[in-house]
Amino acid sequence: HAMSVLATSVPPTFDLGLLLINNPNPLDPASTRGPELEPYLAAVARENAQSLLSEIWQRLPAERVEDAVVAPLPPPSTPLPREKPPPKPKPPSRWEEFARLKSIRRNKKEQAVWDEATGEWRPRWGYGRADPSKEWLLEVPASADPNEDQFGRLKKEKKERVAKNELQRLKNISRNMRLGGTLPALSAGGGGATSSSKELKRALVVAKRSDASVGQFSAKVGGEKVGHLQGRRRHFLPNTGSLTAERGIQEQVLKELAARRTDPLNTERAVNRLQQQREQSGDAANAVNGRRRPQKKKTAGKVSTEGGKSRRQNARDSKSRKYKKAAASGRANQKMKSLMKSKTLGKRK
Amino acid sequence: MASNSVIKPKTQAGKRALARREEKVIENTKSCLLIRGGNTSEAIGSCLKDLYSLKKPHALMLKRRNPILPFEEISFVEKMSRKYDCSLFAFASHSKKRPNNLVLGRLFNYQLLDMIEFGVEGYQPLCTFPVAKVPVGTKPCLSFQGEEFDSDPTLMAIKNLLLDMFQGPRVEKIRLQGIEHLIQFSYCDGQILVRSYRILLKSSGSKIPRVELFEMGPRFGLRLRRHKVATPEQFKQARRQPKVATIKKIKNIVPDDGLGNRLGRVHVGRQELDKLQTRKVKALKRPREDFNAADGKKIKKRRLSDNKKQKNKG
Repeated sequence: HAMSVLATSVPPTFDLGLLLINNPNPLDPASTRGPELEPYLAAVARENAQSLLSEIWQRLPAERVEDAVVAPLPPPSTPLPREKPPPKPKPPSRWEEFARLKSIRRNKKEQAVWDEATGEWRPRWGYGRADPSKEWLLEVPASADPNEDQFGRLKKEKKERVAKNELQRLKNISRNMRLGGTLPALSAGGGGATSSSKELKRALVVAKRSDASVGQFSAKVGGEKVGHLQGRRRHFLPNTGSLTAERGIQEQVLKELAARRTDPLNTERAVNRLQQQREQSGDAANAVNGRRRPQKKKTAGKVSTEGGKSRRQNARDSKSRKYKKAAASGRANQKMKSLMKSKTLGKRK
Repeated sequence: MASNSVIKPKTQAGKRALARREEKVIENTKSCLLIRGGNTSEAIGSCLKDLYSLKKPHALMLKRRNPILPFEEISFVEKMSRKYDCSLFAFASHSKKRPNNLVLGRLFNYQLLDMIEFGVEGYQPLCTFPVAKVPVGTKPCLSFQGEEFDSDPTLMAIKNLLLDMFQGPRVEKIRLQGIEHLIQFSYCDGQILVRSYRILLKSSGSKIPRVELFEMGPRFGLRLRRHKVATPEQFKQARRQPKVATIKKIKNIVPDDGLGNRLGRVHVGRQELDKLQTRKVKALKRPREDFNAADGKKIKKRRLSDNKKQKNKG
């Protein structure tokens, strides 16, 4: 026997279920350079194969099947992932439940049935069966209408039976879905998780309120119960209506415009801003590359103070502050009143 | 079950095809989908074809070129995997930035589980080796050489993927003379060297045969580029096995002790003997002091006639 090519300091481990040998010994770095690589690898492989086959021959019991010697493989010990999730147990259908309760067992039927008419054994189903719908002669029963089409009647009855069976099958599927299952794959290419009716309803609600008019103008889906509009944000006054109200609004706007001229600059804010900017530029000077970040230049259209906000922004701020104050005081009063009136505490819309 | 779907298959072939795709306790052998990218070099194209040969019949080669980028957008691969019912894939492409690129990956439930991108180096095709090839569908022996396959987390993931890719069909029994193929993966200088050999069993002095190897090809080295490995949670979910019904062992009862007796041990709880409900016996009714007088003698039993005598006396 040839000398061991590898330094077998660590013995190899096996997973016979996968015909796998794990040899944790490193390759000899000297042998892996140049033209010696392939013969070296071949020698290493040969040793590994020999160890693996010895393991197989020793560990696994050999059996004889016809003219071949086989060995049963153990289940693999290396964890490998599955292809698909394991199948969920199918809930019993209505009939199966009933049969279980009444302990009705399936009787295994014979494949061949004695056919009186032809006087021979015929298969119960499939090719060559005694199909009543293929009869050339049908007796009219005494109780039936003599003008009735007996062949048509059989056909109709069969159609009804098939339709009933299909209905029961679909009912079973829908029952399973309702009880928490998922809709089974509709086709080979389709499938995937489809929602229950609850989830779909929820999705519809969310989708509807996700537009600007919070679903006010969205088409109503059949059977949908539309509640009040949640989260309505923008309220627009009607275009037509009281002229005096509209006049009042316009006058208010003009008043505010006039009032702005008196206080174009919010000095407090301007000073704070300037200080902030100076601090930031100071940081930039201490930066790694020592380059100052260029100041953002404002567009020519806007009139702005140095380091301060634009006039419009100031106005907006003051307006919002004023309105907020007024609103807050108004709201506070209202809240006190309502709190004293009602029993519920907490947020109110 | 195919009958569980809303749409019933119209033909027996359709029914069988659906039954093949549905979730099972014991799964089918994983099929590999081989995809050519927008641009392939001769080497990588040939490498993909060799991979197809190795993995036949559990492989499917897409004919057309598919200019996709698996690491950017995996949806194409997932869609194809669902269409063709394959849970392994190999994507070959060639670009200046990534020459001879091979992405090996696998899916769980038609969704990406993990994928590894390799650069193929030192490739020699299957046809250049004059050795006779193994029959299609042979289960190969796998050999992993190198300590990194057990220690480095990325390489452990790669090993798992390569095992899944090359393990072949899962069998319960193997014909010992049919062990003909060995694939060796060795880790060396940042490369995984892949070599494929044909095994010849020669008789040796002992029962265990002597192994002789002939390099069959293909031969290539895989250099790790990018990787997207499954999180432990994803892997755990993919590993979930179906519950196999086990025979419940009844404790404490020996069904047959060999003589046809059924034995068991009855465990009676703690009993308070003086509070036991027994048959009432008059003799036990008498209090205990009657039996032992102060002087230790037994008190004589008194009879009615004694009482009468006493009365008469007194």
